Amino acid sequence: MARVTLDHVTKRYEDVVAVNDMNLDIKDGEFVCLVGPSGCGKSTTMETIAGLTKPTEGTIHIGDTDVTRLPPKDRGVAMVFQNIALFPHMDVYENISFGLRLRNYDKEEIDRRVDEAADVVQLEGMLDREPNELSGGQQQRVAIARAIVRNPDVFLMDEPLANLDAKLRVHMRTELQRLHKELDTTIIYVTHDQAEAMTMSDRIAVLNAGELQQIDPPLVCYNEPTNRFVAGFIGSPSMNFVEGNVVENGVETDNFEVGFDPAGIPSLAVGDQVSLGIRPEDVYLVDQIEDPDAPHLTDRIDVRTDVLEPMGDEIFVYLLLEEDQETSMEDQGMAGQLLMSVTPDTEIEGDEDVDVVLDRSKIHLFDTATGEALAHGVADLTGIGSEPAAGEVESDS
Amino acid sequence: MDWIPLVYVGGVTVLFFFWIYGIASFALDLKNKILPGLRQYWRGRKRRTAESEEEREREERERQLY
Repeated sequence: MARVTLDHVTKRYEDVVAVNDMNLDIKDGEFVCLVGPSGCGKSTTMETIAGLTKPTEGTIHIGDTDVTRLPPKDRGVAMVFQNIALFPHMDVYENISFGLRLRNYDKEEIDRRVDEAADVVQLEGMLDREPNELSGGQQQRVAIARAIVRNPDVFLMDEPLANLDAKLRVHMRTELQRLHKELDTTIIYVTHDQAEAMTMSDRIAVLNAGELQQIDPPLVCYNEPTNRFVAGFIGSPSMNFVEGNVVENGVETDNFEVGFDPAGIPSLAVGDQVSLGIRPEDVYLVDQIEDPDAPHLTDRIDVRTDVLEPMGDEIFVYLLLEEDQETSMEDQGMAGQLLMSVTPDTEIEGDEDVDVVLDRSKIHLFDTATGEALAHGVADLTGIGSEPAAGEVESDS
Repeated sequence: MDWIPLVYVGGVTVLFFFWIYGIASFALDLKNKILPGLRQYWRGRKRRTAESEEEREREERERQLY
């Protein structure tokens, strides 16, 4: 186990800044996922930790050792790659023991460690098989075992499940969680799949354009995103955003108002432009809730249903805010529309006029200019007695 | 028979013209085509060598992580 610290790490490729002034402090035994869209610098960050790429500026410590200029073999790290990269001419035993043989371990020690690693990843009895006789999941487990046998201080995993099919990916997710519990080793995991990040990690580091946006436990990133990028990136489907202006008694958008006391948010002033964020599961159909006039809900909003997406366990309903809006998908993008998630037994059709309400305790406010979060939940800013339920987000203010 | 020297001089002049023309064309081809082509070839070869060296080093570093 080891702590990993990145101190002001920057990586430039000629004119392109791949990683910009990254500061990360990953604790002993922690499982941290680096997530972000393609080209955000997550793999480059991983490669600088692994020693595959040298940072242009900054230092990297693993434990108490400054490893910034050390070759990969001297860093005490093992890496699992997306492309698995098994040697096709070696059997499973030879593949797993490759790193140990390279370091001239004696045969008995190699056998002992390979047996232990095979046991951990459940590959017993397959050690004499060739890689082409294994399934994708088994091959990935061989790659993981190859990393385990070295007893590294830190595991680095660069999208190791990306090439597997959806079902196997879900299975391997649980396998990796079990592995982390069993080994209790620091794991740094790169993925663009937020489901992997949300389910496996102790903390998620969200990156965008080479810069760290937020590093927090998954639910904190979900419930209290530090800015609009994180709010939009974490959560599937994405958060709805509606532009509005701060008025005396709340926020006014083109189509509805959200009442609260703006004085409750110190950085907010009347006239400011804000983005109002609400997740699809926090938009409620009036017909489906017991008390649509409950104080933590907004006034009713007249909308028209557009496209319905039945997902099996829920239905995604695209709602048009403008009365005369013809279509949201082709002309409007996400502007002028809300996405709502309802239970599969909801009786709802496309092109139907309905009333919805928003849960004010789940509304996020972001500065339109900077994207910075201003508040998470505005219900308790009104002083009208709405108590946030257990687990509900409390306001910043 | 006075025209024989004229024909001779004319023939030599034509031959001289094409000899000079050939040398000039070759010099221009050398300057504009052959040398740039050779330079391009060496540049490409050097770049490919550097790339394969970089790739080899990268593979070597990746193997250190297995």
